[in-house]
Amino acid sequence: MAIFTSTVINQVIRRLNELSITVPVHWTRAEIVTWLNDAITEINLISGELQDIDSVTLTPTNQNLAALASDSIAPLAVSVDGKYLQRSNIGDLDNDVEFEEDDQVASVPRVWCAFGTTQILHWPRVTANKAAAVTVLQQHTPVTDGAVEMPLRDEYVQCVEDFCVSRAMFKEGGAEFQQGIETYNRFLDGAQQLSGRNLLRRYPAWTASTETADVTLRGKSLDAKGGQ
Amino acid sequence: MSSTVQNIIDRVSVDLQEDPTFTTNGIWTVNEIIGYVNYAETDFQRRTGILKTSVTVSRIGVALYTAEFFGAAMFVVHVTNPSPFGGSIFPKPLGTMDIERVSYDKKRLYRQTLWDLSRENLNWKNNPYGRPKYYYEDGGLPINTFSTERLPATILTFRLFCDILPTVNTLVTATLTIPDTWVQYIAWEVLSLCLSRDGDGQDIARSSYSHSRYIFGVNLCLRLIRGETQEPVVAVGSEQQK
Repeated sequence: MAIFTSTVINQVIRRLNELSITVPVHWTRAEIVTWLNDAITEINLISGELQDIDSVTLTPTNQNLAALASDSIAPLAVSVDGKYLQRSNIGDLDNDVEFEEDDQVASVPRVWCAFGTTQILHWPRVTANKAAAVTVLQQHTPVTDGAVEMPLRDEYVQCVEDFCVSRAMFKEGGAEFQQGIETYNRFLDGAQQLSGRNLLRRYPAWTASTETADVTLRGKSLDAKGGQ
Repeated sequence: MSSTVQNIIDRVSVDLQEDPTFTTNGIWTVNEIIGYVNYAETDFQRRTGILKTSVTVSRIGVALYTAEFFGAAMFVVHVTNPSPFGGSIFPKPLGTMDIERVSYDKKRLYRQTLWDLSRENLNWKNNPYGRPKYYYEDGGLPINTFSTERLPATILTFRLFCDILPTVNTLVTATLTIPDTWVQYIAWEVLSLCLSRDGDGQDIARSSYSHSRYIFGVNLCLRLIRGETQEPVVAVGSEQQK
């Protein structure tokens, strides 16, 4: 059964010992909605729960770079023609290959690196436009107060409650602020459980097979490139 | 990216039990909060490098010019006698901060210090022309510039990977540089700064807690950027891959 955001906010207000869930005295429903969205964002950042696959076009002319969709938080994995590319970082890639060189092209790239959180860098450059499926951590659409389904598994909605209660107690200051830290720790416990469930699907552990890479690079070892 | 400075003000005013124009108690001012937002955005970007850009810097042969304009009111100085810098001085493009990588003619340059270059070869300044292999940012170079140990003789381009310097906000309507996902962490750092200011309103316990929540956001961001890498990249068909 779907859990609505209004239901969660009502329970948060009850836990804060307010007499009215419609007109709370010390907190407004609007500010709790902000914290609700913060909670969903943070549990997503910890657990990698909300993922999507963006189609990104790799081009020969964009100097190994490709931009991601604006609603993605960060790239998690990249596949081309159904095969996952190997994840690296720019420093390691620089040590292994001279990825800007003219001959570093192939029909299918093999390696990708995060370029900040908004772009990816791939190697080799493609010889022609190529569609890549980029698994991204997705920013949720901000929810509002009402009959709006929580964009989270039902069994983890209590974590969002904990986050909001903790956040509200921070506003109180003093002893209540200190007590709210314990409530935030409960949120973290739940987020870690969800993270554990998602661990296996977060990052692919395999790499592109040699058969899918372009033959133009076949036989060129790193040593043959000379390095520095 | 649609969050504005006002969104941050709305958030922190709730926690500070102020109205969004900060006129009720008179402890904090809007301009003060805008300054904190600039602080937090720059600090977040400096710690995470979440926004990067690839830019190019071109130079022209040393025999032709002694100085030229580059970008808005920045100079590229071409020194015909390369001493004391051993080469041209290139400005970092406007709106960028830390240089992560420099390449010239599609080859990566290694980052060095002037001290290391001189230690390896005392006479390096006497051979100023040729393909550069190193770049450096120290040794008395002007702020926000870099130089190479040799000057390329033809018109060529350096490619830089840099972190983007967040735009300085001056109005509450200004759009934040940092993406929306991370706005709550910017707000935590702004809160931390508000609560650690001298005078009324200071609450060191809540300030420290706010800062720790901000750092938690920084670490979540770094984890996503760094990811988990596997074995070193090896060329197709090499012995290592077999």
